[in-house]
This record gives sequence, C-alpha cells and structure tokens, in this order.
Amino acid sequence: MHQDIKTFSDLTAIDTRHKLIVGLQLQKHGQTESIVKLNDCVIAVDQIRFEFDLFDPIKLEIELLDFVEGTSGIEIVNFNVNELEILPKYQHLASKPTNYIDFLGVWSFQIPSPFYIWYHQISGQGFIA
Amino acid sequence: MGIANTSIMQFYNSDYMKSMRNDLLNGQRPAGCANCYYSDNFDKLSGRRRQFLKSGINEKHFELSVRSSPHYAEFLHSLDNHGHSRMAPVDLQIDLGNTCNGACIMCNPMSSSRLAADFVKLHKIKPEIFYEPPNRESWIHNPDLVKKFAEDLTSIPGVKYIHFLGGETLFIDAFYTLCEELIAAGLAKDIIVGTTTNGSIYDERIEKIISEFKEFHLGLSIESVTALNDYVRYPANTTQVLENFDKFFKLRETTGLHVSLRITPNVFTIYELDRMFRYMIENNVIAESCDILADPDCLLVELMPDDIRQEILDKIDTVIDEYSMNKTYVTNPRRNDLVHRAIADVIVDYRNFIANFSRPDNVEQLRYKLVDFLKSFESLRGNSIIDYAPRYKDFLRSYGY
Repeated sequence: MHQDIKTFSDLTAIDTRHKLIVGLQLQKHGQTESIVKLNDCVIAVDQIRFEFDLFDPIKLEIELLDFVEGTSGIEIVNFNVNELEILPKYQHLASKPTNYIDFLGVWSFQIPSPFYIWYHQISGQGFIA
Repeated sequence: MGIANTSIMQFYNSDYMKSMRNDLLNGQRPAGCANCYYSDNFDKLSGRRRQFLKSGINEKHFELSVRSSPHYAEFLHSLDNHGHSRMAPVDLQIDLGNTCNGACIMCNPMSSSRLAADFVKLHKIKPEIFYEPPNRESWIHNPDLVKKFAEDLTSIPGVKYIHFLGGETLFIDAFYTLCEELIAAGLAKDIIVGTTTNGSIYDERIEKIISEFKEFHLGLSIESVTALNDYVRYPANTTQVLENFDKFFKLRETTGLHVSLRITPNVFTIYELDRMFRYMIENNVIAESCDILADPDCLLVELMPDDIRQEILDKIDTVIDEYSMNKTYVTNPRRNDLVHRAIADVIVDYRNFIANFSRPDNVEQLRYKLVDFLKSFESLRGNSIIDYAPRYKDFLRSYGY
C-alpha cells in the first residue's frame, strides 16, 4: 500500500478535482508572432502552471503567425503533467514530430482522457488487463 | 479444494480469494506477499508492482492512477462485496507439480521431485536443517484431471497470459498437452505463454508450440556461466545447458520467443555475477529482474564476508563503467527495443543491493549453518564447494568446513 494512504476506503474519499498539474516552459527564439492555447484557452508564453481535473483531456496548440525563416521559432523546453515529462520526450506523438516550431500554421499535442492510462500506454508499461 | 472438484472460476471467487482481495483492499499485507515487500525495499520492480501495472496503476502516482484505472469500478465492487470479483482471471500461474530432473541446492522438495528424494536422506543426516518431505501427488499424472483442466482452461474468456510452473516444465508431458489443447481451441494466437527451464532439455516439440502462441516467454534458469552452476544446480552440465540456451537464442530470430535469464544469486554465485552480466550483454538477453534469494536462509547473499563483498562491487563497477550504464527504470523489459536499458537496470539494481544490504542479526549462526548445509549435500554427492568456489575457502574454513 502506498505510504500516503492507509486503505482503499480512504482513497474513495479523496477529492479528485484539480489533480492534473500541467507545467509548461516555452522559449521564444528570435522574432515570432504566435498564439498559444491550452485546452482551447489562450495563454501567455510565460505562464508555467495550470490545473485540470483528473479526467480532463489536454490539448496544447501553438499557432505560429509570423517568424523569420532559419533564425526564429518557439521551443517547448518542457511540458509535463504531474511532473511526468511529456515533451520533449514524446514529441514523436505531436501533430508534427518536433518540439521546435518554426513553420507557419498550427502545431498541436493532444492527450486523451484519462491521462494516466494514456501515459501508461505511451511509456510502454505493458498490457492493461 | 482442488482441481478435481473446483473449477478455475469457482476458485477465483472462493472464500480464500475473496478474503485475500479484501485484505489487499483494506491495506493489509498478506504473508504470501512478503517476498515482494522485501524486494521493494531495494527499489526492485517486484511482482506486486507488476500487478499494479496490469490495472494501469502507477505506484508513484498511486491515488490518481487508481482513480483513472479502467478497473476502478471493479475495485469498488470488490470492496462493497467482501472481495467478490465480477472479472475473470487474465493472468494464470499454473502449477504443474514438482517433477524435475534437477536438485538445486537452493530449491525445495515442493518444487523438485529429485530434491525431495534427496531430502529424505538429508533429513536423516541433519534433521535440524532438512525436513522430511511430504509425499506430493501431482495431478499431472492423472490424464483425466489433465483433460478436465484443459477444458476448464479453454473455457475462460479473455485469458492473456499463462505462466506454467514446475518442476522442470519442459520435462513434463502435461505442459505439452495443455499447450496443444490451447492451440487446438484456437486460443493460442491471443495468449502469451511463459515458463522457465533449467536448460537441460531441448525437446523439438517446443519449436512448434512457440511458433503458435502470440508470444512465448521463456525463462532460462542459471546461476553462473561457469562450473559453479554444476554444483549449485546439481546435476547440471553447464556446457550442455549453454548449448541449449544458444538454440533458444537462435529461435528468437524466427518466432515470437522472448528469452530472459532467471537468476537468483546466492552467497557463492554472487561472486561471479559480473561474468553473468557480460554473458547477458554478449547475448542480448535480460535477466527477468533483480531476484534476491530469501530462502534457504543459510545461502543468503548477505552472509558473504566484507572482503568478498568489496571485490564483487569492484567487479560489477568495472562492467557498469565499461558499458556506461545507469538506472532508467524500464518496467517492461520484454520490449525488444529496451533490452540494453533493461540489462543496465538489473545490473544497477544488483549493485545497489550488494552495496546497501544489512546483515541479518543471526549472521554468525547462519554461516555455521551454511557449512553444515553444504557438508550434508556433499556427503550425498561426493563433491566439494571449494572446487567450484575457491575464493570462499578461507571463509568456509573459519566456520568449520
């Protein structure tokens, strides 16, 4: 039994709201114009912490409206959920497999609900019975 | 209760199983889980933790991942119904009895018929160490029971994994019969089969069976790649064993065979662990996990003297440095793309265990018991541990060998 809980009965009484803590660190390189959205809400590039319900899907979208070819772009330095690294580690699952956006248009990364089952699968933890 | 009058599904919701589930749901630690809890102390991915994963539970994020588990409603149902389950087993461990052609010194009569025969004599030599083994009638020698069990097995919906336990499984006809029944029932393509062999046998029937199942996971039991294995896994012929292992390694190329080593180092074989690690790396084969011997207590790794302990650490560190290894926490070591990382994990796990273990309070008593234990076996077998593990000569002499 995990040290933080005594019995399974205790577990059922836990309030599960706001239990996915998303950490995001973006780095602008050079001159760019962009719109960053997390679950369809526009966020500032320097915002770093967000809270969601345990069963919320998560969608990160970055739309690059303007940039200078070869010298500018937006880097996703770190995107984590409950301190589990999602990007850059799993960038191959993004709409375009990169964590450096230097192209016009929308780049997105989607995590379906529930997060922990998705994470179990993409991190290769074996079959769920 | 036995398979003659109880089906698998009846047992699954028997009072015994319901009580076990209830205990787990209420935070108890059933005695049968002791080995896993012991292994957890060394940050090893124990069987207990592996079962969590089958429900999608991440132990480091326990509360949230339990809530997210597709089995959450089933856990609640069991909690509200005294441990009853609405599910069916997906992972079966089938005990085929103790029929075995080996008599390993760390084994027990319940798992080896040959060792059981030895124990009858050993009990007369040293009754305070060796118990008189009970007669064990195995169901596998009754063709009607094997047939009934095969029918029962093929009727369970959604089985994903079956592990066959022995004895020496490849030495037991019922193993082949049950596999062939699963194939005939058209279920094999959806089932992963696992078993363990001591490598003494390579029966060509196994090639067809391996090719029919979705995957076949074969554990290869070995304690050392040197003659020390002959002593510990008596009466092994390690040269022959390694030749058979090579055949299994080759089968990986053409079938869904996954091979892993099943090592459980004891006070002697731990000294050659670095050589075992090199064998793993050379043959691209993992050790299933960092198994740590808990019984018999007189063979505990923890009994080794300090100078040998340091020597072992130095040798393992040389391997770790040579291959630039570090711990990466691979939880599914059967993925072919993760073999090298899984090997590194096991090596680092063992290294950490050897560096950090504490000696039992009765270590001196156990060392004297070790000598009595060995001398009893050697009086039957006419061999001597000194010939196989000369580095331990002074240590053993100081305890009366």
